[in-house]
Formats: sequence, structure tokens, C-alpha cells
Amino acid sequence: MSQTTICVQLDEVVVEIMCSMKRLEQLREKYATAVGEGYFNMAKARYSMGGTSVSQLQYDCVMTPLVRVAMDPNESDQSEPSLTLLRTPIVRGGRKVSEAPAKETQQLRKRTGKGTSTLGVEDVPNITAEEWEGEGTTEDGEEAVKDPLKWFGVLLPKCLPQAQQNFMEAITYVVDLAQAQERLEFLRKKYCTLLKEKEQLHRPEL
Amino acid sequence: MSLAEYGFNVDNGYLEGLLRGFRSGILNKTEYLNLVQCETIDDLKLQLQATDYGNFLQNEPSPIAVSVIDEKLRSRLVVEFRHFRNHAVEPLSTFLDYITYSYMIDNIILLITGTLRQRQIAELRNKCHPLGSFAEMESVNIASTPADLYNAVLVDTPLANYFKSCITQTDLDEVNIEIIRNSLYKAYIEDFYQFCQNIGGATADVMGTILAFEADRRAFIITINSFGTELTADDREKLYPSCGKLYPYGLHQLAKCEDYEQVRQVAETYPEYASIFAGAGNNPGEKTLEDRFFEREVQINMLSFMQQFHFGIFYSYIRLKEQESRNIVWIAECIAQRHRTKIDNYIPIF
Repeated sequence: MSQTTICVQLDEVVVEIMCSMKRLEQLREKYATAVGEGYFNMAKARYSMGGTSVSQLQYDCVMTPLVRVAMDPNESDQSEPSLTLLRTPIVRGGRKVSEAPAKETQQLRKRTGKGTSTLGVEDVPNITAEEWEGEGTTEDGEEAVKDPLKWFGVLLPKCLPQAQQNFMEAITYVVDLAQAQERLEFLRKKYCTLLKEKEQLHRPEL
Repeated sequence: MSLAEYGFNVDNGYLEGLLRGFRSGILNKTEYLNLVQCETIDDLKLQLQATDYGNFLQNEPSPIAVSVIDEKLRSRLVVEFRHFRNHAVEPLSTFLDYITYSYMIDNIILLITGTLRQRQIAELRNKCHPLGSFAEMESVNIASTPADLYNAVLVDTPLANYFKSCITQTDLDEVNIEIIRNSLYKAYIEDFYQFCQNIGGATADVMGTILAFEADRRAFIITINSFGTELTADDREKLYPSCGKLYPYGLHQLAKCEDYEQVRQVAETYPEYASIFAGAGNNPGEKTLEDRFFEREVQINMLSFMQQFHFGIFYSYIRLKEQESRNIVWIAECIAQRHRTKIDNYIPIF
């Protein structure tokens, strides 16, 4: 590879690194905002309902996660692994909200590592509680779980479901953050590799 | 002036005087302004030392959690209340016992839900409100149905009469627990209202206004929070207390409501509630409906101190101190979370 080619590639990698860092910072800010809003809404709920009504005492003894993250084991150095969010259906009103008789395929919410050189934060969609309810049962026939909001009662102030929505939003940002960090790490290694190649080209001249 | 006022101070004059002294220690606007300017919880602790609370957090190690502040505020109120109760004679002693029944209901529900979540009884016991403690509390975990709960635990407590309407529930799931909670409270508030009316005089007048407002507030909040839940309109209507101004036509209209706008239309037919709903909203700068109800509650409870020789001031003092605790905890949460945009959303009392 000629020196010019390597320099061009190095420049491209530097630009990608800068864009990835910008995306990372934007995602961190959004994640911090979502989590902060969630905790603030829980404080509002404690103000309305009382401190002991919204506390650890209400947590279920056995918690089933509503969201799992699956990682595609891509060991290749040429691309970073992809992360996938897997949703567990929620039971609401005595029935599985996620049941859709016409659909039997698994629907997943994917966050792949295929970033472009300029990734805008618009790539991260706003997830509403209704979207989160899922549109299909899982392939392994997993039981739906009760809405965790029920832990705190039935007649809840609006701020508590809002807090749940904030934390759900934060989960999507967590996956994107992990993806962005992996991308940054991948670009850093690529930059180091190209820099070494450039140095090796320089040595015969010296 | 009736004869009741001539004899009031014989049995209750000391406690009324003491209570009015405590009332003057409630935080004012200047003290709240000092609190909201605090940057850290330690600053808040220093500012509270300059108030009537004094060194109540002195022995707590830094960093102080907001839940610890809440517990300590509650402990202060419990000490004051127990002093009143220990020195009270009839009928004030029964009146003060009625005040504790609402905390008993909260404790029972906390214990039931905690037991369903397989929490240790000792852990739950520590979180119960001290004013609502009763001897049979720790046996709540042996009950698996409302009938067991009544027969084994509550039959010898003051809440036994309130529980009769709840025994029809077959098991203890989230919806039934919510129904039990609100049914108990409905029966309690109606019984308390009747007790105050039987006392008569200024107590009936003042407490009638306060409890009627409480009953109507519960009806509105139950209705609004029940939208989108499994609670049916029929179940909801059974939870409305009947000692308020909404009874019977307003409650019947509320039971038929299916969204917030319909509730607002029902409220508009009652001038005192129309003004509450008019200023409520979720936009920035607007107060929520619950805040508006808390504000009105503070106004009503402040008015009870304008009259003498009645028991309503004891109830009002407890409610005002609870609002003060909510305010302090809210300010502490905003400071701890560094979320100062809504730190001024407390409700000042003076």
C-alpha cells in the first residue's frame, strides 16, 4: 500500500472517530436525561403516594427482565459485534398484550453495528409504551410477565408510567451507547494498525 | 356562645394551647427560600437547624439519604402526636384515635403487599407508620384471603367494622388490594365524618368541611387514575365516599366518566372544584391536579385555626405538618438529583 493511500485512510478513520465521539457524547447526554427524568418522576410519585408506597418494598421477589440484550458473537476483527434487544411480552388487563394471532414470527428490535460515517441521533427512535408491548410471542413460548407498574398498585398517578417510559427509553440508549463504544474501539484499533503500516513504510527511507 | 365553649378549656385547653404553639413553628416562606437555595443535603441540614426542627439530623452520618430525612420528619410528628394523645381525655382521645386509623389502613396494605412479595415481616414492620401501629399487625402475613385477614387479624381492631364490605373479595391480587384499600378508607372517612357530626358545634362545622373535601378529592383522583386500568366503572363507584359535596349526583356523574375532560365537566358544576381544575395541567409552569388539591387542602386546614374550642385544629395540624414534610422531602429530592427546575413546586403554608 502506498504512503498516500495509507494517509488517506488514516484521515478517513480520524473523521470517523470524530463523528463516533460526537454520537457517543450525544447518546450519553440523552441517556443521562432519560434516566434523570425517570428518577425525577419517581420522586413525584413518592410526593403523591407517600414514600413507603414507591420503594423497594414493592419490588417483586422474583423479577423477570422485560428486556434482554443478545450479542451476535462476531469474533472477526473486521467489524464490531451487533447487539439486539429482545422484549418479553407484558400482561395487561389479564391478557397478554403481545398476542397477535396472525403473527407467529419473532419480532426483534435490532441495533446493528453498521454505522455510517455520519450517524445522527435521529437514528434512535422515540419508544412509546404502546410500541414496547410487543407484537408477537417469543419462539421458545416464553410466558408473558406482569407489568412492573402493578407492583405499586392499580390507581397510579401519571408520573409513574411516565417514569417507566423514561427508563424504557434509557434502555435503548444503553444499547446504542454500547454499540457506539464498540465502534469507537474498533476505529481506534484500525487507526493504530494503519499508523504502524505507515511507520513501516517510513523506515526503509530512514 | 353555647356551654361547650365554657367547658372546653377544662379538659382540652392545655393541648389546644400547646398545639397552637407548635403551629407557629411551621416553616414560613423565608425559611423555604433558604431551603431551596441549598446546593447540597448538608446545606439543607444546616438550614433546618435554624428552624423548629433543630438538630434532629445531628446524629445522621453524611451523606444523608432523602429517605432518612423523611423518617426523621415523621418521627418528630409522631412524638408530638403521642404527647397529645397521652394527655387527651374523651372525646378528644377518640378523635385522635380516628386520625390514626388512616395510618393503620396504610400499614395493613403495606404489610399485605409486602407479604405477597415475600418480604420479611421485620423489614415491613420497620417501614410501617408508627401512628398506625396496632398489636395484631405482625400477624397479617398469615392471611391468604380477605376473610382470613378479617378473622385472624382485624376482628379485634378498630378497623373491623370497616372491613365488612371487603370480605367479598376472593383473593389478594393487585386489583382486589386496591379495592380493599379504598373501601377501608371510604368506610373510615364516612365513620369519622359521622363521629364529628355527633360531637357537634365548631368541631362538626370545621371537620365537616375538611372531610367533605377529602371525600370529594378521593373521588376525583380515583376516577382519573382508574382510566386505562382493570377497575370497572361499577367497582369505582363503590369506592367513592359519600360524605362530600359531590354526593349523590356528582358521584354518579363521575362513575360514568371515561376520560379527563368528562371529569373536568363534572367538576365545573361545583364552583369550588371548577377553580381547582381550571388551573391544573401538565405543561411547564402549570401545577398538576394533585398539587392543586394539596393547595386547597392547606387553605382549608389553615382556616380551622381561625376558630377556637374545637378538635379540628388537631387534625389540621397533622395534615399541615405532613404537607411540610412533603415539601422538605421534595426540596431534598431536587437537590439530591440536581434537578432544580421544579424545586419551587412545594406548597407554602404560611
